[in-house]
Amino acid sequence: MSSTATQTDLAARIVNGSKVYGEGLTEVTALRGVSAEFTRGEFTAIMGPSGSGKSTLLHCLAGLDTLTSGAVYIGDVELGPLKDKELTQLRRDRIGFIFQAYNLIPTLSAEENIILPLSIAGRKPDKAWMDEVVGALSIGDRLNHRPAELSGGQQQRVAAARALVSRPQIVFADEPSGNLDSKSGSELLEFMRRAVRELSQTIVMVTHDPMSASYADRILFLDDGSIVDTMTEPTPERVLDRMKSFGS
Amino acid sequence: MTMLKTALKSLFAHKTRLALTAVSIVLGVGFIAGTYVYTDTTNAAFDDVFDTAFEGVDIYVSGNSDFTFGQGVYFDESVADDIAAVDGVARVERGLQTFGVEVIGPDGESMGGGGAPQLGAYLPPEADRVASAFELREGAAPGGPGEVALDAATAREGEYALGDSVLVSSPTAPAAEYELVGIVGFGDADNLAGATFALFDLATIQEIAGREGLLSDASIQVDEGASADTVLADVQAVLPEEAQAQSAQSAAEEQAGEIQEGLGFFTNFLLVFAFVALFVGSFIIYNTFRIVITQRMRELALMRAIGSTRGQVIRTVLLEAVIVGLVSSVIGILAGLGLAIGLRAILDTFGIELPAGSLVLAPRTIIVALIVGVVVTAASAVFPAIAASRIPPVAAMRADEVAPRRGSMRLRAIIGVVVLIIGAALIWTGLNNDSGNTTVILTSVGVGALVMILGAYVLSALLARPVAAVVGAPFARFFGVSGKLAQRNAGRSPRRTSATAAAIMVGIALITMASILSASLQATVDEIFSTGVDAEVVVTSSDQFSLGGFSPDLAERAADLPEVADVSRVAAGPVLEDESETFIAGLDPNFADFFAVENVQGDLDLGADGLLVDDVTAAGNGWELGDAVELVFEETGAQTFTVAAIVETETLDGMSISREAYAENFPVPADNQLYIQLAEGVSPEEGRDAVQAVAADIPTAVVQTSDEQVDAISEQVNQLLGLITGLLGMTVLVALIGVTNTMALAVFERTREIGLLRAVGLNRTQTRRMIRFEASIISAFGALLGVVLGIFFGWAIIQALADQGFDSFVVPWVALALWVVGTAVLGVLFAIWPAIRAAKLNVLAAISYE
Repeated sequence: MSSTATQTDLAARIVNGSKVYGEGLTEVTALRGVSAEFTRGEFTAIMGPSGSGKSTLLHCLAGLDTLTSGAVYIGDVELGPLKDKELTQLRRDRIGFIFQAYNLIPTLSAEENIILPLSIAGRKPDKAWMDEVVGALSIGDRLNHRPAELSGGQQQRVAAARALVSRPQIVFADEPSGNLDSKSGSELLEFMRRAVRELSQTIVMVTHDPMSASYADRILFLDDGSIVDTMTEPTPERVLDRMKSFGS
Repeated sequence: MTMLKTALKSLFAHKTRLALTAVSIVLGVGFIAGTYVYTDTTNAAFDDVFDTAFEGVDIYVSGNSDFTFGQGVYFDESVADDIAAVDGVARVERGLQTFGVEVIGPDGESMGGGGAPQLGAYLPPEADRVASAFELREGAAPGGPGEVALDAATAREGEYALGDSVLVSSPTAPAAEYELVGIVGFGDADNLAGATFALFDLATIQEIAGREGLLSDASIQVDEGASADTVLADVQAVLPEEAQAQSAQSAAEEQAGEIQEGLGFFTNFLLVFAFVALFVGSFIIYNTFRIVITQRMRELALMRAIGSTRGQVIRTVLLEAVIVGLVSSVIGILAGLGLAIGLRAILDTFGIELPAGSLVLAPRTIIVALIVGVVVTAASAVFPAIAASRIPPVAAMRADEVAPRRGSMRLRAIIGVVVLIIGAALIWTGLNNDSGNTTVILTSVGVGALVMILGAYVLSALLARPVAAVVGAPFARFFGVSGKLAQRNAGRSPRRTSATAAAIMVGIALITMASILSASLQATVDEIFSTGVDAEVVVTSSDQFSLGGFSPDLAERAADLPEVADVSRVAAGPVLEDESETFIAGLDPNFADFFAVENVQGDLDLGADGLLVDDVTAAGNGWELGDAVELVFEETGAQTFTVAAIVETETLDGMSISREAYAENFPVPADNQLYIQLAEGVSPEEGRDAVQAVAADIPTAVVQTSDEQVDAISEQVNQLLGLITGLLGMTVLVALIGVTNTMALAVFERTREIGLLRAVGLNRTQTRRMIRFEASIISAFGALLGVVLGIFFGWAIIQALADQGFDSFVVPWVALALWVVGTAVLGVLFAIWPAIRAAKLNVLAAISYE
C-alpha cells in the first residue's frame, strides 16, 4: 500500500470490504473488512489456502459479485451503486478477464473471441495494438481456428489476448495457468509479466501456486477473509515458506 | 421396483420440461378421445331418437329406392287401404315426406339449410297417429289447406307464434303463406340434426310436393296378440313393387345408420388431424428425450459403471417414456371429454342441434387413447434410449463432457435420400392408382407422406448449418454480437436443430399443401368459368342437399325479360349406370352456345335417346359413338340410350341427355341451373338485378353474375381452407412449444458460456436477443422445409388430378412467405421465457457452473 500514490494512479481499490453469505446458523463470512489498493502498471497476486476468500475478493473487485458492506472502485467509479446494465458496460469497457477454463465461445474463431468485448460494444479494434498483442502471444497463425482446434495453452493465450486487446483499465485473472502444463503455464505467465512491464497493463491474479505467484510484483496473502501479509519481489522459495505457515 | 422409483424421481426432477413435451401427446390423444366420445354420444342419441320415433310402430312401409340422391319413391294412397284390410293390422298412419320445402324467414332468407335438409311432411291429427316422431308441443296438427306446423327450432328462430303467417316454398310451387297452427319437437331436441320441418295436412303436402294422391311411407300398428312377423309377410304381399315393408326396429336402425354414416366422414376428418398432432408430438418427444439423455450422461454412465446392463438402461428410459405417455393420455382423455362438449356447443351455434345425451365414454375410447398415447411416446423415445445405453461407463469419471457416440452424417445422408425416395414413390403410386379403391389410395398416399416427412427430417440435419447461416445472416448483420451468436448457435447442433424444426415442418407442409390445392382449385374454377362457360348471369339452387332445384317458371320469366338475350336450362338428377349411382344432366338444345365443347364426335342434336359423354368418361367406359348404354332411373326404371356425341369439355362432365328425354324420366319438373346471356349493352349487374326481380318469390333460386358465382365458390373453398389451416395451425403451435423446450435446454447447457458472455460485457437485452433470434432462425428453418415439402405434396396431388380437369398449379407465394415469416415471429415469442431465464442467470454462478 503505497501512500504516495494518488487516487488517479489507482486502477482499482477496495475499502473495508466485507462479504457475508447466508443467514443465522448458516452464515459464512468470506471477507472481513478488507482494504487494498492496486496501482496502475502493477502485477499483483492474491494467495491463500482454500476458503481464505481470495476468489471472493477477486470476484468483488471485478464486479462479478457484490460486497455486503464497504466499497469497490474501478478507477474513480464505485461499483456498489451501479445497476446491472452499467456494471455490465463497465466490465465490457474497463475490465479484462482470464478464467481458469472455459474462456472462449466455442462457436467463434480465435480472432472473433479476441475482439469479443469490442464487438459487443460495437467498436473496431486498434489494428496495430492487436497485431502487437497477437504477436507477443504467438497466436497469429491460429486466428481462424475454433477453440476446439486449439491446445489448452493456446486457448489461454487467446483468452489473455482478449483480456488485453480492448485496453482495459485492469485485468483480473483467476488461476489462469491452473489447467496448463508447466511449460504452457510459464509461457502464459511470462507474457502477463511482459504485458505489465512493457505495455503498462495492470493485472490482479488469484493463484494457489507459488511458482505462478512469483511472476507477480506483489503478493497479498489472505487467510480467513482478511489480508494477513504482503510480499514484494517474491521468489518461489519465499512464497512456499510463507505458505507453509498457513493452515492448522 | 427400484427402476420404477428411479424413473419417477428423475421425471419429477425435470417436471416443467416434460410437461411441455407432454402437451403434444395430450393434444393428439385429446382429439382421438374427443372424437370418439362425441361420435359415440351422438350415435347413441340418434339411436334413442329413432327408437322413440318408431315407438308404437310395429311395421314400417316405405318406397323401395336404390338411390341415395334420389327424390324418393312414392306409392298410391290406396295402398294404405289395402294394408288396413290385412288381418292383424290395427291401425295405419299414412305418411308423406319430401325434400326441398323451405320456410322463408322474416328477412326473406330461407331458414335452416347449411347442409341440413329442408323437409316438408304430413302431420296426422292426434287420433290418427301411430308413430311418435313428431311431438306436438303447442297448438294442433294442420287441418286444412292454409295451415302449417313447424319444428320448434325454426319457430324459435323466426320468432313465430301460433296464428302468425309463414311463407313456405317448394321446388314445384312458388312461395305461399300459411297460418302457423302447431309447433313440434323431437323428444328434447328442438329440431332433428338441424333439419327444418314444415308440416301440413295430407292433401296440402301432396300438392306442394307435386305428389298428388301419393304417399312416401306408412306406419303400422298390429293387433294385440298378433304375430308381427306374420303380419309383416301379409302386408308385404299386398304391396306394389315400388314399396317394401320392414319391422319398425329395422327401419329405426336403418335411418339412424344413415345419419351415423354421414357423421362418420366428420369423425375421420378429426381423427386424421389427431394423427398429425401425434406425429408432431413424436418429434418433440424424441428431441426432448435426446437432450435429457445428454444432460444426464454422467448419471447414466455411473449406472453403467456400477453394473447396469445396456438393457436395463434402455428399459429405464423407456419406462420414463411410458409414464409420460400414460399421464399425458389420461389428461388427454379428460381433455377429449371437454372437446366433445365443445364440439356440441360449436355445432349448436351453427344451428345443428344434436339430441342431448350424457357423454358416452366407451371402454374402447379409453383403451385406444391410452395405447396410442403410450405407444407414440415410447416409440419416440426408443432411439434416444438406445443412444443412452451406448454411453460408456468411463464417461462417469471424465471431468469434461463426452458426447454420446453419433452416427456419421454420410450415413444419415444416404438413409435420408433413400427414405425420401421411398416416400415419394408411395405417394406417386397411390395417386396414380386407377383401381378406384379409396382405402388403398388414401393409405398409400398417407403412408407415403409420412415416410417422406421422416426422410426430409433425416436429411434436414445436413441442411441445418448452411440454412441457419443464410437465414441468420440478416440477424448477424443488423444485431451485432447477439445476431452473430444466434446465427452460429442455430447451426451448432444440427441434429437437435433439425429435430426441433421438423416438428414445425409437418404442420407447415400440410398447410402449404392445402393452400396450394385451394389456390389451384380457385384458379381452375376461374378458368372454367372464363373459357368454358359463356353466360353473364347464372342461377343456381340454394338447396344443395337434395338437388331439388327450383321452379321452371323462372326460366320462362327470365327469357321474357328485355335484358335477357337467351337462356339455357340445366336439370340434373341421379341415375344408375352399371349399378353405380351417378348424375345425368338434361340440356336445352342451345347448350352448345353456352358451354364450350371441343373435338366433337357425332351430333350435338341429341334427340329423344341421344347421350352426350365427355371424352374422359367415354374412354374410361370404353364407349364409342353408337354404343347402347342402359341407365336406370328412379321413377321410370331401365331405359336405353345411344351414345350420340363424345366431346372434350371442362363443364359437361359425365353424361347428358336432351331436355325432353330428361323430362320424360324425371316427371317432377324443376331446373337446377340457368345460364343466361344478356342483350347488348346490358351489364352483368343489371341483368342479375332484372332476373332477381322476377325470382323474388322463388327463394331457392340464387341469382348471381358469373363473377359472383366464382367468388362464392372461392369463398367456400377459402372457408374450408380456413378450417383446415386452423386445425393444422394448432399442431404448429404445439411444435413451437418444442422450440421453447429446446431453447430452455440450450440455455441450461450453455450456462457457463452465457456467464462468460455476460462477464465480458454482453448485457441482458443482448443476451435475450441472442436466444430469441436463435429460436427464430430454427423456426424459420422448419417453416422453409415445410414449404418445400408442401409444394411437392401439392404438385403431386394436382398432377394426379390433372385428367379430372384440375389443370392449374398455383403456388400462393405471398401467403407462403407470410407463413415462414409468421413462424419466425412466433419462434421469437415462444423463446421469450428461455431468453429471460438466460438473461437472469447470475453471472458468477454461471461461470462457476460445473
